[in-house]
Amino acid sequence: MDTTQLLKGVLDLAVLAVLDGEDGYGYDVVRRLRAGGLEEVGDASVYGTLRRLYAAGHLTSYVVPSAEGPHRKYYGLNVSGRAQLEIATKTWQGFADTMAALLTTDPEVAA
Amino acid sequence: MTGATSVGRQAEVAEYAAAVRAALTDVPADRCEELLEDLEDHLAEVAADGDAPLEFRLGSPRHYADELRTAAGLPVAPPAEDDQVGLTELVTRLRSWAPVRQVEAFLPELRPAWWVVRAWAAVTAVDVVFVGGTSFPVPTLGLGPVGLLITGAAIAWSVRLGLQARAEGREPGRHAALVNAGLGLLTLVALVGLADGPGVATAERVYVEDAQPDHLVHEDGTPITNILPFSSTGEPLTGVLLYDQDGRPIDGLADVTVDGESVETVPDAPLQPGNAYPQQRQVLSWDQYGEETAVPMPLPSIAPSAGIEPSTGIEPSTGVAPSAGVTPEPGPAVPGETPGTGPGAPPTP
Repeated sequence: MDTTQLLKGVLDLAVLAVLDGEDGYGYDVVRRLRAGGLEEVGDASVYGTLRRLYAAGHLTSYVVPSAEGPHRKYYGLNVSGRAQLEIATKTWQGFADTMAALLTTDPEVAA
Repeated sequence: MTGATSVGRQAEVAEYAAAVRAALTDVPADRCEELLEDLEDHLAEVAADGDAPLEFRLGSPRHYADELRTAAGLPVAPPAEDDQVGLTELVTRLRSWAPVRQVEAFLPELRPAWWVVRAWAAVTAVDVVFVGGTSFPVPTLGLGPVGLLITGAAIAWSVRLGLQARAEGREPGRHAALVNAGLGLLTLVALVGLADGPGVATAERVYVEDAQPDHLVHEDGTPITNILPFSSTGEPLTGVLLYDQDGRPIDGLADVTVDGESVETVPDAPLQPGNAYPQQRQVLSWDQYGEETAVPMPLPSIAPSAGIEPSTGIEPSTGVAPSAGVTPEPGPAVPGETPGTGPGAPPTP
């Protein structure tokens, strides 16, 4: 199954979850997602998601000067973002349970 | 981070970011700025993480922009740039269209047909241009069977070339494409030549008719409407059966006189073979009331006459008149045939 297709549906949740643990800048979020197992996640997808969540008011942002490179715009969850994460998490868990049930009961039905 | 971004990489980042923005020109400016506010900073972070070029790590700016659209929830369809679509772009788009793709997929299957057509077209075009007319469907170059062989050889050669190219897995190069285009042009010439064809074909048919009359004629073209046999003594003969060297009956008297009058065998004449001479013939004519009248053609007098001349007024010219020097064989020399057994009218004494 094409994981990039699955990823599109859950990228919001994944980004929110990553930022819930610790604030991060764009490329940092990309690397943490990849390190967390979503190796195929695209840079543009993450960057676009961050910008959209920010424009929707779910994220706060603040610039941190960097001694080594460009300024880094850090993102973090605000109240709206946390609420969004909570809703999305429930939705995902419900969906995942449904899928898991389908996948485990399916062979019994067939048998 | 492992160090400051070099000047070169900054230029690369700026260039890449500019290309991404260029691919998003259809997005309203404020929305675009909201989305891409810190694109350069972000790309600089990516660039600083490795030595590989941005294009290698992120794909083309166009691809990056498309991915960005999806993630940011922007309309996916990029209808912009339509006014400046190049020919190449147009062809690319056309080829991505499903029906075009399907046609393109089975076109190679038609190659053998094209091998035949191109050879046919080449010969036909030569026929049209140099011989001035062609025969459909197979051009003969005006050479008859030899022309057919030439056409067949051209087709065989063309198919062989095609098979060779296919076996070697060669893709047609620029040279071959040029040749194929030329042959395509020849196909057009051939088809145009065929469209002009009917006139040519008619002329040909008239010519054939002139060369091979379907009735008996003299060398000068005068139609022979009857044959009047005489014996060496000048006696008119009847019921003489004529055959050629192969035993084929000689029949096929002309139905039109040299003056254009219609001639037919008298309908109620005694039955006799078509090659029995003389035959009772009559000239058809029409009077002023449109009534058909049949005038029997004069036959030599049945009664033996002492003179050379038959009493019918028909004078065999002196050269033709049987002379003592020419001794016709008593019976018809007919190999393989037995005319005596035929239902011919017995010669009247």
